[in-house]
Amino acid sequence: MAGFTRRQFLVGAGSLAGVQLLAPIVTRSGGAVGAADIDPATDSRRRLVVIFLPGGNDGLNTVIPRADVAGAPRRSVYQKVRPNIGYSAGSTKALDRPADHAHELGLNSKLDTLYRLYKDDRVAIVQGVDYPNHNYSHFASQTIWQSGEPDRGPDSGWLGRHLDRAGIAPGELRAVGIGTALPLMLTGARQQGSEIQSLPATHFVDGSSAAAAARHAALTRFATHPADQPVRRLAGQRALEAVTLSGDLAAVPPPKTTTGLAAGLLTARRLLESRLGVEAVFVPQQANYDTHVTQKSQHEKVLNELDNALEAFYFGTLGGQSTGDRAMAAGLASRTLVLIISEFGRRIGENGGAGTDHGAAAPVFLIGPPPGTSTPTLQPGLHGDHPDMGTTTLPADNLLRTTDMRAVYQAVLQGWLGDPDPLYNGVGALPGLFA
Amino acid sequence: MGASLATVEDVSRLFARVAFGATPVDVAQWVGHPYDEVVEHLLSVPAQPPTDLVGGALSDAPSGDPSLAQRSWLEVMRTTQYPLLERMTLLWHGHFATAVAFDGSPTIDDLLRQNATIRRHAMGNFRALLAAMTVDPAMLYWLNGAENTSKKPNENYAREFFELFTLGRSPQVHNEQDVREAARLLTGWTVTGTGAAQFVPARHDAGSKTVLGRRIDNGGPQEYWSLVDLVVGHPVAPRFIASKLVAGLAYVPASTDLLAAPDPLVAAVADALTRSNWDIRTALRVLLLSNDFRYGPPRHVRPPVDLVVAGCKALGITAQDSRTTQALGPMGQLPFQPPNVGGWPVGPAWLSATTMLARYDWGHLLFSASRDHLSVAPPARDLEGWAHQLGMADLSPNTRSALDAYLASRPNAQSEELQEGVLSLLLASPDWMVA
Repeated sequence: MAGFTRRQFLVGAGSLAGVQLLAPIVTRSGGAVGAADIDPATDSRRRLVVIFLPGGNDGLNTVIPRADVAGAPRRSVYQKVRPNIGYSAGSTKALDRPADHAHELGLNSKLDTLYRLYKDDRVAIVQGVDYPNHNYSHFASQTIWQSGEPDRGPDSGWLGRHLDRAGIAPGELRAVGIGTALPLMLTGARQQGSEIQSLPATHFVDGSSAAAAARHAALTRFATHPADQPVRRLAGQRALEAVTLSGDLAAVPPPKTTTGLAAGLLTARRLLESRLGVEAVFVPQQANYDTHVTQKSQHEKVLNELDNALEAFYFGTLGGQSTGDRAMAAGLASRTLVLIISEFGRRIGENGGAGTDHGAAAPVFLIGPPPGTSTPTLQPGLHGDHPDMGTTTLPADNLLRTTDMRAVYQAVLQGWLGDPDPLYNGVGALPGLFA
Repeated sequence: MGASLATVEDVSRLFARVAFGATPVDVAQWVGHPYDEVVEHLLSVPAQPPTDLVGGALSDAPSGDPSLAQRSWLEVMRTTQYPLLERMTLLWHGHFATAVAFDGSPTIDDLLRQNATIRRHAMGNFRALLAAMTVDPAMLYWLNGAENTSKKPNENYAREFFELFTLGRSPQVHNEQDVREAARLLTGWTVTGTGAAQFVPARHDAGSKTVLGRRIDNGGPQEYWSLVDLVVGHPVAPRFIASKLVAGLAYVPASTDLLAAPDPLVAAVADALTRSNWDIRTALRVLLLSNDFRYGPPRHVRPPVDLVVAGCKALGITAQDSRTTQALGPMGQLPFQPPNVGGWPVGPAWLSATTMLARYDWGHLLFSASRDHLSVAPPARDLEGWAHQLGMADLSPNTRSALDAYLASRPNAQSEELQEGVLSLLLASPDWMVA
């Protein structure tokens, strides 16, 4: 026996000589173990990859004012409050689609791939996104972006609640977080995603010999630890989950690229290409956007990593060179949306260390299918209003919300995943993001 | 209660939680002695930790190599005659989480000096520890205190000083203005070329500040003490620190509001901190002698560092072996490399499927490290012997039946295969991971 999968599990366990059948098995998804064999070539379900930029991405040096516009001296304020970390207008990549041109904004020059996708009408940029009663703490604000609920306790995530409503079919690996722990975003009240660090790290070091299979079978038995020791029972259930994940992913080939965000995004793509029914993947960048000092070099480095990862994810190349990974297949590209978020933006003005402290609103990026390949599809270009930056005599301290985070999430749930979110009564979907 | 005699269960649980596991020698020495005498033994640490502890193994670590420094500290944990002191040094390292910078400062040498400072206060006075961390060179680098000047304050340390180090967020007692004022108060500190903290009056904001409603006038190089005293005087501070001790060594308290509805054990430990003017040893005594600590279902999830050190200790393997850090990477807890300023997870957050794979793999690594002197390892089928060797009082019926089924499924296997199997399964078992 090569190992356990969600599909094979019951059969495999029952066939072990001299061992009583395991019942009841509770998996982390809460559902029964069974068969997922969903052909990604014919499965029409739309997919979502959420990229998280930890530490608070500086929106103002990601989408940069190139000139003042009527009633909003953004460029003048920008130059005044960012003498050391500001960019010249000419060094940015102009957001010059016809509908965007008058806004006089430009992308950071490190974002080649994102700009290429923008020029291909695949990128939407929602300006000034935040939530009510902004919290400047990394941890509090990350929790809110994960839960999607600024006013409630962090008991579930906005995609976890989607899993609750959509359900997870037997054997499906519907949502996966890349990392050592399950992200709150993928945790629902009844359903949960799974987490993996990488595809190679999801295989046991002792392989799949008969001796190893016997050991792994024993691991699955820890799941029946009695309920009067709930923490030990949880540990046992995680051991079972480790064995089933290892079995599920045995046939999913790891990407050739093994480091940085590119590895995470290519792993996400491998999962989306698998027959496991993966709908959503959460991929946090490891490098940090918390640029309190010497921001320019640090920020460019992490933006560059983000952009390289997008290049690898969509085109299978790094800096134009082959990675050994293919470009994304057209069918998958037509069904995949990427959402890029961070826990907050940064202050308008630089601090004493040529960095910026924690701020509030910032742009959110979405990358959709090539035009004409999907209905509904993402409407490219700028959405929402640019936050007020004040005047040169009285610059604003912070960028304040013009679009509610929940309106973006609601639009993704309704417009892309086809899932109305009843918890967002009163906060409608951002109009015009999908059509 | 404390005068009652310590059972095998008592010694096993106590040492697993605070002393990197009980060896057979520990069990032989302490079972049958009054419980409070065992606790007092663990609490007995010289006022000045022996210099060979910090001046020996740790300072011998070649300069500039994080992995050698990591393994050196693991080896100190394994061999020390004061295990609780090392356990507390690890706990405070996670509380004041500082990570080595691989391309800048803090360097591993800064981290090792910080480690010695933490150890000096780890079972001493929390107020002194907090003050020392506030002007610690590694911390000044890590949270940008070194760039915090009167001209342009940097809020990074000030924000985490309240949120992560002293008051927490439940209830939220500090606000944005307190963060900004505290940042001004802490201006002027920097790090010299030789790695020492230095106060530069010209960089310090000499104006008065108002923090938590109290005015603080210019105190120059001593001014940070005013902030320390003001904050530790707030009633939520002892509750917050007590909750960290309970979560780190016993269980994650359920309470969400530390003032309105504290966990009873948290309240008792907090009272001990207040009564003793922040003596950590006094607080630990109350914690370790409490019924909540000593009795009840096992619910302390042992962190990876503890599990790896305990594994080495049980089998007599040096933690200098590179397999220890090889295992700790995927388990998610390398010393001097916390994931962010929030430190490592505690409690059930450690129990993810993906880290479970790493914990099981560690059993194989440990077995391969111990091949040369397996004389200490019991025969595979002697499960009591294994439990005893690993410091477990007994095996739960579920774990035992899983191991029995495993042994029965490999009737013709070589003894070495079965020993490896039993060890790796026990190191992934609920009994071992949850004390």
